[in-house]
Amino acid sequence: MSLHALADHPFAAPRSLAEACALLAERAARGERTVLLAGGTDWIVEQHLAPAPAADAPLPLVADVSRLAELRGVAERGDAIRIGAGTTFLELRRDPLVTARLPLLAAAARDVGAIQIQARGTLAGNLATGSPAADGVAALGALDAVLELASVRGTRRVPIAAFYTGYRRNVLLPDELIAAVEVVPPAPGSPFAWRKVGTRQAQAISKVALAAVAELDRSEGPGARLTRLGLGMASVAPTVVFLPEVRALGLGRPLASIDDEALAAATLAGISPIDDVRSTASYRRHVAVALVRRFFESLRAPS
Amino acid sequence: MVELYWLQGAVPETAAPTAEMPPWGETKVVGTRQPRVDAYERVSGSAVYPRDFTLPDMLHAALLLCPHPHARVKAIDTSAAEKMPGVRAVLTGRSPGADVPWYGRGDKAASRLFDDHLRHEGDEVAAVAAETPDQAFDALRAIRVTYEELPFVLTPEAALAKGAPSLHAWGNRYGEPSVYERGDLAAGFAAADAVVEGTYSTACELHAPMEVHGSVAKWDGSRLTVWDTTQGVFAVQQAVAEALKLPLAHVRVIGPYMGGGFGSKLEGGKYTVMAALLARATARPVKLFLTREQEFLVTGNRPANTMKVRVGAKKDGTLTAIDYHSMGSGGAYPSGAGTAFLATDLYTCPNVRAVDENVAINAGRARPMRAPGFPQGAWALEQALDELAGKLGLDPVALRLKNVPTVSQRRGNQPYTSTGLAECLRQGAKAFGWDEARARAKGTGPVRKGVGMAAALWGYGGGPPSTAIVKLFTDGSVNLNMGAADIGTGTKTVMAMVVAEELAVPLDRIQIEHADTGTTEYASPSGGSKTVPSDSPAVRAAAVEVRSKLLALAAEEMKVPVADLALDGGSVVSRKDPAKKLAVTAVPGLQRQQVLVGVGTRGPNAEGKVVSEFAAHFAEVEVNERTGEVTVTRLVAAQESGRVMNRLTFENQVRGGLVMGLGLGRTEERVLDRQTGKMVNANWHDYKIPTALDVPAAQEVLSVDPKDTLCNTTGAKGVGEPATIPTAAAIANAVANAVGVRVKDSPITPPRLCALLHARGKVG
Repeated sequence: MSLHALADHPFAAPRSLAEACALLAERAARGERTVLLAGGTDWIVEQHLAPAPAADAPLPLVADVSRLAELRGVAERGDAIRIGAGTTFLELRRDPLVTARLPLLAAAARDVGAIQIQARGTLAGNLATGSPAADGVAALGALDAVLELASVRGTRRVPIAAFYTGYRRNVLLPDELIAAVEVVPPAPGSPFAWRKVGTRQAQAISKVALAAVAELDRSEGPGARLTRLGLGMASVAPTVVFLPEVRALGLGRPLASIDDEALAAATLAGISPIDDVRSTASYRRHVAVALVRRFFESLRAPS
Repeated sequence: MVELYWLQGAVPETAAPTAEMPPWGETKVVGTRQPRVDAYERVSGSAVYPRDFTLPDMLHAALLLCPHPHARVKAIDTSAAEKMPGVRAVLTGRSPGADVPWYGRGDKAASRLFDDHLRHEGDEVAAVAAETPDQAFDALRAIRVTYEELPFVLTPEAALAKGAPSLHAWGNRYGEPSVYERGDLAAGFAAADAVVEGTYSTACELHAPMEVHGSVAKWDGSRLTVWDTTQGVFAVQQAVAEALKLPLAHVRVIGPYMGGGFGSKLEGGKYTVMAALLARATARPVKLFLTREQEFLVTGNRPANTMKVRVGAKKDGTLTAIDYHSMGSGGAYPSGAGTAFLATDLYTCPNVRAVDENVAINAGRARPMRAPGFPQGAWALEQALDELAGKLGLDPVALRLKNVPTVSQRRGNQPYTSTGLAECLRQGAKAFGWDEARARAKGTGPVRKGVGMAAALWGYGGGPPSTAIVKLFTDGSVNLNMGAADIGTGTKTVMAMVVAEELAVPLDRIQIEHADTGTTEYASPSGGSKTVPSDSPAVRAAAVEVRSKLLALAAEEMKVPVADLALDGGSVVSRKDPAKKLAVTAVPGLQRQQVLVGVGTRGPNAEGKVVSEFAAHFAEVEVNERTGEVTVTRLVAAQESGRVMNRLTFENQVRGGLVMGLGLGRTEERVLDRQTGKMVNANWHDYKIPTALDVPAAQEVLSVDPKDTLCNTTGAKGVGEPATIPTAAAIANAVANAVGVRVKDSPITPPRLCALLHARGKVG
């Protein structure tokens, strides 16, 4: 449909999280669709590119959640850091807690679109759209984020690895919204990697992106081993993937014993890339392996 | 054949300048660094571009484009759209006055304003004018078109295959292959000690200007005024008058600011005529601009080219033979696609054969794009020469220096008015630290460093016709009236500097009227890097005429011979006795006449000589052998464009050229889907123009000035196009130097380079 037809949608602006949940519950019960609009950087573009809807098809209600205070802000909660789902990427990259404790997330936030997109786009929008190329999802995946889903029935906590069920599909129920994500930050100074391979340095939807964090026990000297390992990789499968095979291979084992062949096999087991306008499957396989190997290489290097 | 696209049609030759104008010696203003005279307007948002333009009662129009690569309109039903809220007119090929020949004249036209035979995705089907833009777009959706989809061809090879669908009544070729030959090719190769051969290709590149194409049209009785985003108001005037069968005098085209064209805005657009027809049908002003997505489909491109090159040389590097063949496509409608010029004229070579083929395909029509054909030609020729240097064990710079010509072999062996090719090579290499960089290690890790270079020539130095008027008012302020568009290159600033040089008046006391067919003088479209060399001599002549008149009037008052008088600041001063001084505002003759008017014209070019610009670019890259990523870390551009008029706009032009060349070499590529024939990256996130982060901070821009006193009366040649010709080839040569693998197809994307590294077993 064309962009100007957005005004044809019914519109609501709930004033609180509770009101938003109530609205969702009410509409879900009637089988009516609701679109939660925060930054609009994904949904509005999708509508612009989508074919015109059938004349008699009811348009979904657009509910503006961009001003809900409950969805904003970054705060410590016990060992974890809780990030409001409506936090924008610009806020993330500027937040002192995020830049100090979650440098991986700050780095990824810096690479999402251009600064205008960062100023509007939100973490929950990135999660809910679930693009296979989502930078934010890759970073949150590497950090093993837990999503807090809210509804009138209460909240439930879903690990990010259990959130996606397929290409742009997830476990969110029609009456639920993403309220926050929680991340346990790695020990200060832990190694991390944020590597985005695209055609250009900025505003490039990735050909392949890797987010990775690790905690290392170096007490055994050359026998250093990983006590925490998280990976998220974008643009190599229908969803962002978290490479469980690589994690299984890497965790707990002396780093020196993990060879390149095994890393390649474990990486390839976790991805299923395709040819598209941005790249080819074979190039993506090649770079996925190269990025994972490079990360392990950097871990093996004496710090 | 390279098209002289700015010289199509008959143009009147103008008279030689009236005043004697010796070459400038020392200049006071010309050559300095001057910010744009309209910088404040441009950066503050107060400059009104046609896209911003609005008139009382103005309607908004939108275009319906063909969604298929090749189709025929079987039926079109606009009845529902006509009844939509706010809709005031729907225009199709069946509307009164809308059956207009297009892409050619009369019976020879290749198409119509709206053609039932739609030859590419984006061909125009209908237009709607409504009270608001939203209503116009709504109405487009209500137009019911029945298409018969036809088989399509997306490459010249497919278009020439047996049984291929024909785009035009005459078939799929735009003319017979153009063949240029000199010497004896076979003998040339027989005399060679080394021969290299290769097939190179460049991807289709899009102009993608910031301001989309479009017009605002308004009628006053039978007179039409158009505000257009254009490189040439007079070209638009001619196209519109012809299409609507109006006297030229009844069509006024105004284009004060424009947001980029790069060659795509040299001609009248269909949208302009459609806006005028909609405005006539509704008796209201109409604004018609393309959407960003439409802009990618219908406003032109630098066509994709495939180039086969074979070059032979003696051991010492002397070239003996060049065999060059280029295949390209003007797109669905006639347009140039040639690339052979450089191969025939950049280097001395006695035996040359160069062929250009141009074939129709079902994709958007090409238009001139910043040095049309030349960057593609450089991509092929300059990579081949790099390889030849390697084979001969010669330095690439030395190989080129061995073959620098002093005459244009392509153009009757006439000498150049000046040629700075050798100096561009020498000074560029020195500034770059070429010898040191070549000797430096490439690195042992996955990231390898490399350096490369390439040279270029641009074939045109402007010429008549051009007329300008300068007026001096009683308070000493000045009005400059000229027809040229300032396409973002700083034309207005340069011309004001010319006036300031001759009349010694500060830049902020000069008002410029320009790019208006109703009130300004004729200038050909701003293209071909010829605006400054064509128009600055006319401006200088006009200013010189005003100065002569002013000095004559002052001489009368001061009782001093005219020859003894000069202008200094706001005064007329005696050279012999500086105490004798008269303020310009105190010259009685000026106060009597109220205004002094000078009319200047561009004289003819020097007989028997050729004007060309030259360049050499040097690039340093880092290549990640694991991922195939290429980072351009340093660029040096040495340009010979005659006199530098404004050092700041000169550097600005060259930097822009480097960025655009980097786009051709590294990132830009129109992608057509093989199955559907549709463009899949008609947007700015998948059609990748380099961002600021892709452009190296380390850039150096050198001017090689041979003090050309023959090219014209200001000594300036063009710079916009030569500044982008060799960049991509220099980058490709640097990549080859870094990793020993040559990428012959542009752009050098990570997957492409990775595949080549893989094939060589070099992947990390």
